[in-house]
Amino acid sequence: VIDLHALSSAFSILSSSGLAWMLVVPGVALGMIGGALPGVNAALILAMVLPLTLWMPFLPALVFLTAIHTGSLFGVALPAVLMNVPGSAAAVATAFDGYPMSRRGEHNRALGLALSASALGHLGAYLLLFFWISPISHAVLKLGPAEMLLVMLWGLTLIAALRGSHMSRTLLAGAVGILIGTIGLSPGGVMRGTFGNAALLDGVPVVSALIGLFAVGELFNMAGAAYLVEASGLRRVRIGEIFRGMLEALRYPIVILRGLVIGSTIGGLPGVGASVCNLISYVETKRTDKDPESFGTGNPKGVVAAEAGNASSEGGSMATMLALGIPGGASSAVMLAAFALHNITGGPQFIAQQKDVVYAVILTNFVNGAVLLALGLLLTGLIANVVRIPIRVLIPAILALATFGSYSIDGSMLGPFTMAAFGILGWFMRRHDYSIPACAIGLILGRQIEAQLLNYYQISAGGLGYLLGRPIALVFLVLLIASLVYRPVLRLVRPPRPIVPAPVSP
Amino acid sequence: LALIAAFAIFVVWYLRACVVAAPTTENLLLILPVAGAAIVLIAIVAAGIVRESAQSVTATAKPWTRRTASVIVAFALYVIALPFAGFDVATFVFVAALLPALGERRPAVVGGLALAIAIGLTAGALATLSYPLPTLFVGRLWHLL
Repeated sequence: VIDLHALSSAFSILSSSGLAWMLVVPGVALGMIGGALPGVNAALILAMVLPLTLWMPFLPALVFLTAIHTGSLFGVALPAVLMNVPGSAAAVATAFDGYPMSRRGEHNRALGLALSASALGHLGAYLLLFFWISPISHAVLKLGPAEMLLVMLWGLTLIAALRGSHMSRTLLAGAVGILIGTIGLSPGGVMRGTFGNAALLDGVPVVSALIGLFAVGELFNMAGAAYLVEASGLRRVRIGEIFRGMLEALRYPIVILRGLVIGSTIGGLPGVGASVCNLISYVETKRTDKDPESFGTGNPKGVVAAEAGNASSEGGSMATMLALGIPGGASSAVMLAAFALHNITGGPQFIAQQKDVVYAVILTNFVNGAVLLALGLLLTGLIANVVRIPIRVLIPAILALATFGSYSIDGSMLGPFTMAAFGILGWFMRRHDYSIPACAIGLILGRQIEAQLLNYYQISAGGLGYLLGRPIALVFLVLLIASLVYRPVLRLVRPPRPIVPAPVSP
Repeated sequence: LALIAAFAIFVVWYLRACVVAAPTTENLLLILPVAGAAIVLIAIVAAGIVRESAQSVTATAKPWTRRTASVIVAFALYVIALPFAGFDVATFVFVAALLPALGERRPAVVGGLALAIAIGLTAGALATLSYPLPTLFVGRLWHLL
């Protein structure tokens, strides 16, 4: 199961890459701090630091980004437990029982439970990836251009199908993203949509566009958000009590295991991020518990389930990204942009030819989990104060930082202009409920989709006979069609529910 | 409908640009079907918006606030001003203008933060970037030091 040659090569890469190790602690700490800021999600933090990774070799860059992601998935739990304001959608379910525990004066216990569950979920998901990555790498090599094309399109349609509302808007966001992604010099050497500007020959600067879509657009959104009240009445954090909470989480192995299975399987599906896994793990634990009524009133199992679910989704989305080169959601879309920054294309060839790098990333993520436990215990008290930073200070500071970051990519004003344009586009899209991840994934994959389609066209001479002779491609085609039609069919089969007026809260 | 109109204009313009650039199968293999699908989706979304407004269903858009508008306008002006005013001055003015708009009323905090962010980021960029950074003052001071 494990490719020992690649594994030993991974150890030697890591032993000679001091920078990768040096970036683990700051990465996890930065993720925790960023995640603790209400409204700041993992994708925003990752987009902000993306220009920094340009100055690093590929492995340390990827290690830094995954460390930030790991830290942020626990960081979002802090305001959820302490203030009932989830740091991002990934901690919505954490607040269900975390905040009631906090109100009972058990906030340290809740933080300890969340920290343990988060670290164990993370470690478990990467342990699964460690054992599965070699078989996966062999399996994905069987995928040709037809399969890859259909997988990419299926990924985009799945985001739309699983989103719950406005499927056509999500598909449209993906289609617009694909079209924008093909601006520049085509594979056939044709200049398209560049206005004759040589700076656009390589296409729209993807990193600046992602900073705009995920960070700038979100900051515009935060400026008008009423929920971002100044933190008040923060409770005192005690390390001893957090530690006892951490140990208590070990009393719920089944809950952690369920979260791990949900996170690493469902989390691997395109479009299903940590937020969905957080909720599903919580709901499943509540449903199967002997005392479901106690959930929502401060049941420790609720906190453990929610955190194990969101933390383990990272391993699942990494598997999809590494094996297929398809980002599962917003955070992995930004990580895939880091691949592009280093002129590396994720997917079957990468995972097969650079398995040692993949093992090295997995190994450092075991360290990330351990560092999360230590930093979570030591720094939670300090980071809880970060929540107090007023949003009015954060918005201009992060916007200015993003501008410097987008300029630093290639020292051209095209970066800040692109970032600003995509920031405004992202804000408009959020307002009208268009999917930002779908647009970003279309933008990142646009050129690859075109290359795979051209490849398929050349191999098959434009006929369908080639496709019909490839059973895996047919399976993906069925999945693609199913993800497109299942919601409209469901709507036809099920009668519409009567509209009931929402109860007015006092 | 403004966003959907913008999408429609972009899709039609881009499709036309691609056809004009090279009307070959290889060039339009992806663009044509994706643009076609986008136009169909635009029609579906637009029809949905019209139907919702006809039935007086609550609009899906979140409320537009003056604060958001001021942030967007200030940020757009900031980015446009960068090549002329330099990163240092433009950043100082941007932060100093935005902080009061977002609710910070203490002049010392506004001035101090704007100065700290502008000088900190510009000096950091000058120290790390291998590209020239347009500045008015900090760059000269940096080179003098």
